[in-house]
Amino acid sequence: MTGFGVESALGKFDIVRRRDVFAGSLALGGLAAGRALASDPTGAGLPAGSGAGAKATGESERTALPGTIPPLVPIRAHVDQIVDIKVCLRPFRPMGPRLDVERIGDKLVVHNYGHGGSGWSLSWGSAEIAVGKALTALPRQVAVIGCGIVGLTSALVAQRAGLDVTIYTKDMLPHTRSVRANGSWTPDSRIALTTPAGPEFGDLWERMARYSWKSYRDYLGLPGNPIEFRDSYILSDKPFGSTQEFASTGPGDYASNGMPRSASEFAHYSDRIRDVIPAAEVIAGHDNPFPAAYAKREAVMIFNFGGYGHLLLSEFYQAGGKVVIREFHTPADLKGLKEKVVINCPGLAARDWWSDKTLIPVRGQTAWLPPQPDVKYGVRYNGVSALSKSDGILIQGFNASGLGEMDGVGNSFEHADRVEAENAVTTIGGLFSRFSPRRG
Amino acid sequence: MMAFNALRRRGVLLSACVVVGGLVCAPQVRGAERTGTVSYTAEQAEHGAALYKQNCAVCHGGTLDGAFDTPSLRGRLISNWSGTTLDKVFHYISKAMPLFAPGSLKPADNAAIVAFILRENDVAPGPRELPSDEGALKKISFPSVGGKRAKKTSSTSP
Repeated sequence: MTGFGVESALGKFDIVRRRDVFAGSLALGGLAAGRALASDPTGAGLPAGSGAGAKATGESERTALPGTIPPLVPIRAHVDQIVDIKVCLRPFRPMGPRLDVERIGDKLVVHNYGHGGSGWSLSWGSAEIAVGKALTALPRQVAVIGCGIVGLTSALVAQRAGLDVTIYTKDMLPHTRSVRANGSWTPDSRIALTTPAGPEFGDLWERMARYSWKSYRDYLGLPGNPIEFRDSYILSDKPFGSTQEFASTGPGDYASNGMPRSASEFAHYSDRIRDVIPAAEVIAGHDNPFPAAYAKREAVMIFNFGGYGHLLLSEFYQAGGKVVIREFHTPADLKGLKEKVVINCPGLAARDWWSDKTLIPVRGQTAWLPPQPDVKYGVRYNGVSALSKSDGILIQGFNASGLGEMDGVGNSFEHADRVEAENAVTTIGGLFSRFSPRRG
Repeated sequence: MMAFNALRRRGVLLSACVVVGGLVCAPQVRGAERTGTVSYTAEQAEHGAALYKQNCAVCHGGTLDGAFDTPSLRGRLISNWSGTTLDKVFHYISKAMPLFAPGSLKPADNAAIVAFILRENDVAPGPRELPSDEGALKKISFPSVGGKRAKKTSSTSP
């Protein structure tokens, strides 16, 4: 049930395609990385994307220019340095996030939840859609329920549309599930299952992803680096490009069980936007500073929870926003609100307060080490990712079970697994114990 | 203050009602005197659709959803123009659009595009064509209807 056991994945998680490079960034999303492994190196046979840009499918990968690998300070990854272990339950909906409109009594409720491992990545685009729907009711004020990344972003977008906004929430950002994510650009990590989402969802996804991608650019280069790009090195002992099959957790599929059974059921759309997403580049052997035979590098956009969260909240308050701490238990609780238009952003809590049984929790865990500001990059190796963020070194085993995107599906055990964390840290620690800095 | 609040509430309620009920409440646009009923013909909107594809879709997108730097012609469009009369949006389009050749379309074409946009925002067609002169359009309120109708449910339907 819990699917722990990193060791099972170690040693077989060494195949990474270019395409998963960015997707595999690590968000809770990063767990997404696993999925990439399942497909062939060319990307052929993936769900068709509309927008194949210049970086066409099947194009051979470019090799990084010699001398462009900067000196790399090794990551100090030791089990005795763990300062925190965070567990998050992703709010996964097989049909994709809920963005429809419902009328409850005298309230118009615009839903905005169920973004799986893609909530941070899609937050701006999803908020734009939700606020657009709210605006059709011509409100002057709206209530936003929930203050995770989707709620807070929706509140800001509503303010920018000229509305008075009150956020009603049980918890503020440090306590919401959002900050237990990985915090990297992973816009199609457990965002939907291909069949239940249907072919139309890809268009909606692309709209959200492109809108968010552009929105985030506004937060680059700011003091404290709320949003920044990091080089991520994807390392492997074996050549890239082989195919890895993921096991199923049982017979049938989502249609027959109400639960997905295989990583192959998960939808992937990232090919649609690769005209704007930096591609990975191969690092030639003599330039490769890592103790792994094969390496690639990609530029990944990351979200620093502290800097970005506080910034968004400051913007919200500066624009006159109010926060009311309040818990909702049934839709009837809306009756007491003064606002007639409500944007509902409860994340996984929709399962309880809105009785949305389509939500499936997907567990993910991150271990945190003290910040190492000299380390300005991340690595992925043997099913574990490490990433230097402003609030610490994040280490995550993203394929602990060997199930790819099925890892953690249906697991709502929201407690730290120390063994899993230590295994992940040890993998990275082992890598850097063999690292020769002068080659960097 | 009380009265103001009551009015605001009423405005929201009416608009919400419009969203739910489609056109039923359409004429009761908040803060606008109703001076005429919106009507456009299906053929006119169809002509507008073709013109849209040719002149507008390049920026506003095939589904009118806009993009990061281009306004959506649904959702926000309603709140942007509600409370005005239709001559305003017609005048704007006539003068400013398409962006790469402002003012290049004929009045009848611009009226057709307005008709198409209304259709795409769930305004039903009627027996008469939407006029293409600002004098006549000035008598017609921008209808307050939503792009998506809310489901009338009191319980959850995921």
